[in-house]
Amino acid sequence: MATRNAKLNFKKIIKNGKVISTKESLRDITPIPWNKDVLNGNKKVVITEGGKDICAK
Amino acid sequence: MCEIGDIIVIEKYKDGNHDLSKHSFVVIQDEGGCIRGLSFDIIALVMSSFKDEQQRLRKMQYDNFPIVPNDRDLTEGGNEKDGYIKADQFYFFQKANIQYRVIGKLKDDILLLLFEYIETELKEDPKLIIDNLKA
Repeated sequence: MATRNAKLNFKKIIKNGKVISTKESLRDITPIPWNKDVLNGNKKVVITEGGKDICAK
Repeated sequence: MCEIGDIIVIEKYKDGNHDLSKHSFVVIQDEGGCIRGLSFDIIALVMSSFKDEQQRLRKMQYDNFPIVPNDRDLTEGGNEKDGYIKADQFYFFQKANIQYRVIGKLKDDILLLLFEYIETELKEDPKLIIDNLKA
């Protein structure tokens, strides 16, 4: 599928990237509480909406 | 086995001397490479839910990509909660060193939106998290 072959140009994107620790990066992150069926593989999640326009919601 | 666009839950990984678990990530690179002398084979972005409306408003001021899993037919088994993908922090992993499972995926158009967002709209250079890699 063409979309799944889409690639980011990481060399361009991360050329000035600063290294931070996992601890620092996860500050204020709230793990998403998936339900049991998802976690045990019986059901799959598909994210179907996103994007900047939703910021205003 | 995972591919670009997959949502994975990592069962366990390292934060210094501590084990962290059950964080969800979106895979944005599934080819191997090397960074700062360390090899990796996945790059991923962490996913988070919002604690409350106040946090949502604050988080959306930064480089975070909102997600709304609101299509019930497709997200059966999901949690009906909004959240976000932290688009400015790239986590590098070696698959052999983590326990993970694929729990879903981003629909193709959302994946493309996410890539476009990373390439054109990040306000700051992405931060790199490489302390899960082993020499």
